[in-house]
Amino acid sequence: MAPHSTIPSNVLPAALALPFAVAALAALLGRRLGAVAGWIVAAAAAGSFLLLLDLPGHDAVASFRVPWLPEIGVDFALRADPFGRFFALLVSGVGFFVALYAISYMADGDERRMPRFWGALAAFMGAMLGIALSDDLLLLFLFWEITSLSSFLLIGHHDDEPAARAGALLALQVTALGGLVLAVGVLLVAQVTGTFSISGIAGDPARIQALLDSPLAPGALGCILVGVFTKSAQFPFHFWLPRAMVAPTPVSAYLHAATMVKAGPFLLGRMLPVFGQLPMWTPVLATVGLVTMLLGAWKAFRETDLKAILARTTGSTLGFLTLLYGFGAAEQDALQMLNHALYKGALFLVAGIVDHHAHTRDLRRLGGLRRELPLPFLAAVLAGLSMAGVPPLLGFLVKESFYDELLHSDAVSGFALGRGFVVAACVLANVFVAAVAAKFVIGTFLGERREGASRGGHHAPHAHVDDGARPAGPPLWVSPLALALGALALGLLGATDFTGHLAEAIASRRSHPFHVSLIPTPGLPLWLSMGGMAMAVALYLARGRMGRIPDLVETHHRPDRLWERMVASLAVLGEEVSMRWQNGSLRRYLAATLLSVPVLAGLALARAGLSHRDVVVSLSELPWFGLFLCVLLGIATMIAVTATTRLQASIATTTVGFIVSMLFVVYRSPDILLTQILIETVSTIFVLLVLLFMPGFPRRDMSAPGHLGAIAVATVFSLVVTLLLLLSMTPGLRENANIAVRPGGLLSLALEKGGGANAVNVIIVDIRSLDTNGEITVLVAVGLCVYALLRARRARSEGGAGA
Amino acid sequence: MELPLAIAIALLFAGGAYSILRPNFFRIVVGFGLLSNAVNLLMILCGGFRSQAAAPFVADPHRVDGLMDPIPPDIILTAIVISFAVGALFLTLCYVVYREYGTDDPEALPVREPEDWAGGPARGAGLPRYEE
Repeated sequence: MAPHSTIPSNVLPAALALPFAVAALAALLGRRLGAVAGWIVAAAAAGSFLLLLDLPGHDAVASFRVPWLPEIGVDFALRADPFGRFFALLVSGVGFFVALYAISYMADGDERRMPRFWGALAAFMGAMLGIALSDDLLLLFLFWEITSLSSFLLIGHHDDEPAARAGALLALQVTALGGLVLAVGVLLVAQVTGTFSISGIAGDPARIQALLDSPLAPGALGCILVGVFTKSAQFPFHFWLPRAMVAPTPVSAYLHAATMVKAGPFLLGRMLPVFGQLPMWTPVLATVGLVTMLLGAWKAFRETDLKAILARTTGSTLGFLTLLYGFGAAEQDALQMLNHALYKGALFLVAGIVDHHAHTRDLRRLGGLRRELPLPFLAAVLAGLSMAGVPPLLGFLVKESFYDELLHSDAVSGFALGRGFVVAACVLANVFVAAVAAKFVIGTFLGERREGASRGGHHAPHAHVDDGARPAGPPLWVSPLALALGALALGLLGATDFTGHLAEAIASRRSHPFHVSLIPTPGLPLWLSMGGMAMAVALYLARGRMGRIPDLVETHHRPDRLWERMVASLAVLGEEVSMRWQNGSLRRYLAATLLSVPVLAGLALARAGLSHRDVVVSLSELPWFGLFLCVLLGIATMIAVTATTRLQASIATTTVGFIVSMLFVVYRSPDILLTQILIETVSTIFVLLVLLFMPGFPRRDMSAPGHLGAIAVATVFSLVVTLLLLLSMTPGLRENANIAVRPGGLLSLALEKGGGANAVNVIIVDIRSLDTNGEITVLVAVGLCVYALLRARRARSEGGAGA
Repeated sequence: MELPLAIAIALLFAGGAYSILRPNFFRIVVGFGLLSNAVNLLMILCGGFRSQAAAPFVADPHRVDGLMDPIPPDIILTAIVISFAVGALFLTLCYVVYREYGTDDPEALPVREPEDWAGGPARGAGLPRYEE
């Protein structure tokens, strides 16, 4: 990469903040703004575009950096290097035309959904700009997830339709899941390289080498690739894209053709300088790309719905972009991104016009619309020619350049399947895509007017026709025509300097000189192009016969259905597990809680290297009175547990309490002695009162295994707790840093500052006064609860008697 | 080393744990009482109490040798009061549940299925349903 000087710029955050600010505005005030919201979003897109266009030129890179989470080295870092700036311009430029189109297109929709639509669209645009301009991996991940979320909202625009909800959910599941895996990859990269900064990694050969040498590198790249493949609908995650076509057409054009799905290839471009030398890079990307490319091309040819056709060819193109990155062809990739955004955006928008006009998108019912829709027809022809790669459009230049690359790149010959196979596959995919382009344009606009394509119907197709109250947008044909003319203009300019200039700007690693020209230069690329064209024409003419070949790919086992079944069974599994584990049996919960003590304590002891062998047992220091109390305590406990009547149990429990209070005498604690006696007396009265109303113990309350289980749990629990107790008493293991007893400690403080000789009392009411306040609060709360519980019945029975 | 008391505490813990695992509300209340006593005694022993030390009454702030550490009894005091409060609430609940459901077996109480939850989802309603 050419060395660029970096200059700080506040334009970058401004360009990024603009769409987000508009998103908040549109979402909050959308109802009041009406169609104006759309104009504001379009203006924001244009504003961001102009701000980015106005950045300093090619010898300097604008950047912006403020510490965000300095503790973990994450900055809010933006950087407009040529590639990022190119992508950001693409996003905001196409965004402007899509917003313009959507003002008119969406005008007849449900007004209540429009604030969400414009808000999500603007937020999406901001997030895409964020992806393009982020110089921090975590920041990029954040924006990446925002695009998934806004995509979810936009696909599910018609939230009253089950298909829209299911499609939105599917897209969210796949892309958000991929995003999470991407986060893992990002964290792995940061762990190895020690930084989240993209330019900091890509610009530092030592860091790249450290990353490549790390055993974590394949895992990190694998995680990042899962993110890329889910986002850009690569095989085997390709299935969400066709289902996302339930979105309003401007959304399909913008998110699912022109920009969001390109975030995957964009990230590949960011990762190429970092991971490009990893051995798995080329085989994985090339294979996944090839499969996706061929699968999409084949399925596109079989579809009859205009948007489904476009979605499938988009999948094919995305596979092709991945393939190119596999061979390190960054500049051809960027060119194809631009080309595809222009022609596919235009075709989607045309499909939307056709849908509005003819109330169908089914090619079998469409035809002969050229007279009714002349300008969309022109846009479709131009875009279709660019899609098919016919000169003088941009598509032709792109095709020539990547054929050139594929034929000369060393990376291609190093690929296991061989150069011949790759080139043949690409030509084949292009043949199909070109034939599909012909099918789209000819099938829609030429030929006879069909029965189903009648205008009319009970709902008005164009908002600006039926609704004069609100300011409507420009005619629908403006945006597709502008995009298609863009493809033409860039194609014509390509001979001069734009395309070469772009290639120059984004070239990171060049395997051989790269030159494109509008005037075809004889050579193998041209012959491939021309041969492909001829085959495409033949394929188009033979489309009827091709249609009779049974389609064996993904018909019986549709991957999206498989995924949905998988997700549904996951939910069922979760439900089953929690229903079995959390089955409402309090005994089971209690047993699990009790057993967690030995497990956790056992882990802690094992880490500390302690066991029962470390306990030092010495002779008791207890006086005979204390020993006697211990024996009594044991007996009373046994009686309390084994009592067969409630009265026995109550008396034994009270006895335990009083013995414990006697032990407090042995241990010289008059305060707790008094408290215990008081509480024990009150409890006894309370228990006896309740006993008046409660039934006796059942003769047999548990099965034998239940008894044994309870005894086992209680024994294990008690043994481990006692072991902890004995360890805590073992002289060598306890720390005698008693802060209370030393001079100047709590004991001295109690008299000096608290003014009380009884240290326990002073601590309770003075030092721990807030604690004690809480304790009193608990008592009051319990009193209220008891009162409410006892009273609840009375109120209800009175109500029942009255009724 | 106060081994006899440690053994008594072990018995209290075991008996308390066993009692709260039994399917009878009153036994659970008894078990809870045993467990609180066990914990209070455990704090005494962990606190390094010796039966020879003097009660923590301070006569002279400069002569505190040989006095008890006041913090464990302090904590225990709070614990006694709180466990009384919780025990009282338990007992009331026992009584109210028995009054309402006619049983003192927690396992015999009707388990409310999710569809019974007021306004809550029916069983499996959280799962996405797809049109085929």
